[in-house]
Amino acid sequence: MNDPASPILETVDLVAGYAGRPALEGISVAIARGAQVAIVGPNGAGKSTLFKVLVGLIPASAGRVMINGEPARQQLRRVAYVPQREEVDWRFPVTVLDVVLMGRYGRLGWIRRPGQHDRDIARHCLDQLGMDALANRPIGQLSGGQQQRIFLARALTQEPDILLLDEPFAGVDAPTQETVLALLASFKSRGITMLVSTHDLPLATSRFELLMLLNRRLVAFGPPSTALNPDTLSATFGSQLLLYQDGERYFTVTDHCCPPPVQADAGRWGGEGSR
Amino acid sequence: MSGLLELLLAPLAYSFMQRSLLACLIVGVICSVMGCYVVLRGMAFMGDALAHAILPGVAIAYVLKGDMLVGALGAAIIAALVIGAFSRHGQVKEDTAIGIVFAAALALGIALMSTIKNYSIDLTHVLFGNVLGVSENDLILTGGLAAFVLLVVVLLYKEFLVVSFDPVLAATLRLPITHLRNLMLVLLALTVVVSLQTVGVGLVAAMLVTPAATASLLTKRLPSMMVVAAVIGAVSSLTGLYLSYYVNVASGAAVVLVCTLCFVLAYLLAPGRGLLWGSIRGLRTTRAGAGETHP
Repeated sequence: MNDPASPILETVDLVAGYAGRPALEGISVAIARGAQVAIVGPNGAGKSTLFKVLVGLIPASAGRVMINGEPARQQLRRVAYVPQREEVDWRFPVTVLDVVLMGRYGRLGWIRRPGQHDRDIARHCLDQLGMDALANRPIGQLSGGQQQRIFLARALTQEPDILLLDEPFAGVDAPTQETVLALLASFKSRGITMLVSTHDLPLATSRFELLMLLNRRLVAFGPPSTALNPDTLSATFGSQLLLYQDGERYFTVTDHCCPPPVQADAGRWGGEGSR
Repeated sequence: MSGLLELLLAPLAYSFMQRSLLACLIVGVICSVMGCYVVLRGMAFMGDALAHAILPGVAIAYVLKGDMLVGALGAAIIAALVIGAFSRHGQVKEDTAIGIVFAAALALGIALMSTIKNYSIDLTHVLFGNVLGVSENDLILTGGLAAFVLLVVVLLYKEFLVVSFDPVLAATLRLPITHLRNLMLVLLALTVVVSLQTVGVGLVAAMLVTPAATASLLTKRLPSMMVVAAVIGAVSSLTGLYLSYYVNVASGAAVVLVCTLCFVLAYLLAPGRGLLWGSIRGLRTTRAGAGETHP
């Protein structure tokens, strides 16, 4: 069952969405243990929906999700999920450490309180994100980038095999982005499988070994060199992406029509396409 | 000093005052602790609604010559669960569901009471509390319910915390969110019913909100907020009851007014956050600014 060659995460003909209008259709993909996958697609491509199905927040309307070769429902402890924007009340009277410790609750079970062991893990995870000094701060005093980091630290305390990050780089400051990227790179050696959604194609191509191009359907899945070509790019981004051919090379211009108006970088030059 | 002690001890010579003080103390603590969740989750309207929703239960208990507390308890729990059921699927917003159930229960209560003759005295007691009339049985029931509520709040502390703070995480941790929310509503209903005896329907919401809101101005973590709220609730309840004994005002109103005074003091004087603190800081910066322009 835990054969390292078998995929850790597998979806078969997955369909999901709200009120009969599927946001995802016929997604079949197998992801190997320890893979680092960037899920790229425009707004409304179903990236968030895919994550919510994988973590059991919304049901699949057809198809199935297997984790470690078993139905996902029985394996949800292995998955940690950081939503795109945490919709929590930032005035809530909890400290950074309190929030990060919540990641341990799943392992503690009912009634038991977090002990020294859990606190050590939480502090270690905070430390990895450069946040240990802020452990006793009320969460209301954090900056946007720091808020994003504590939720990543909390996901780490869950000691997941699979980590799902929904748009972790949308609207965060550059130091946070670099800290997070460096940390994600270190997960490779720890065998953590990672799915990171982003609409930033250049970032995805330069920092991730596997790309999943998504636009309601699975357009392409594989290393950037095979996943990216003019057909897959236009199938993914449609009119939101312009392609220029210059001899052997393609240049792409992507329209980052981002949800948070923090970086007004619409029309910025994207990375190179294939060959 | 001995004069003060005598002032404090004199009312205790009466056994009804001993029972009242105990009941007030229990209600002050339990309302303030549950009130922390009420304040943090924005359930003040819910608390008020549950208080009014007990009326039909009280009327039915009166007609059947049953225990009014039991009738109130049944009505409050039914109202809480009906509100939860209406708003669960998102077709009706929660505050709308509360408004509907609240008004319907109040109307049903009034309709039932209007058919009963000679109800006016008891009705006043339900609306405004009758802390001096706490019987030994009432006290046992109050104490038992309060102990149950506190026990559940302590045991399920981390579950209630995560459901209140981050329902998405609670869902991914596979916590039974709906059951936990309903349980919280039932605990709130129990708290409201226990408080009726001392402060009455009209003022329960104040007991739920005011001490917890005061504590939120003074603390930074939920456990300390609960403890501080409980202390404020207990001290206000005792102070209010002594005031009502010596100045001869309605006890429930006196308790709530003392709570409100605590809130106003905290709002003005809370270290680092109070209004006074802000104006001192403002004064300093204007002075510093003035110093720069006129060296």
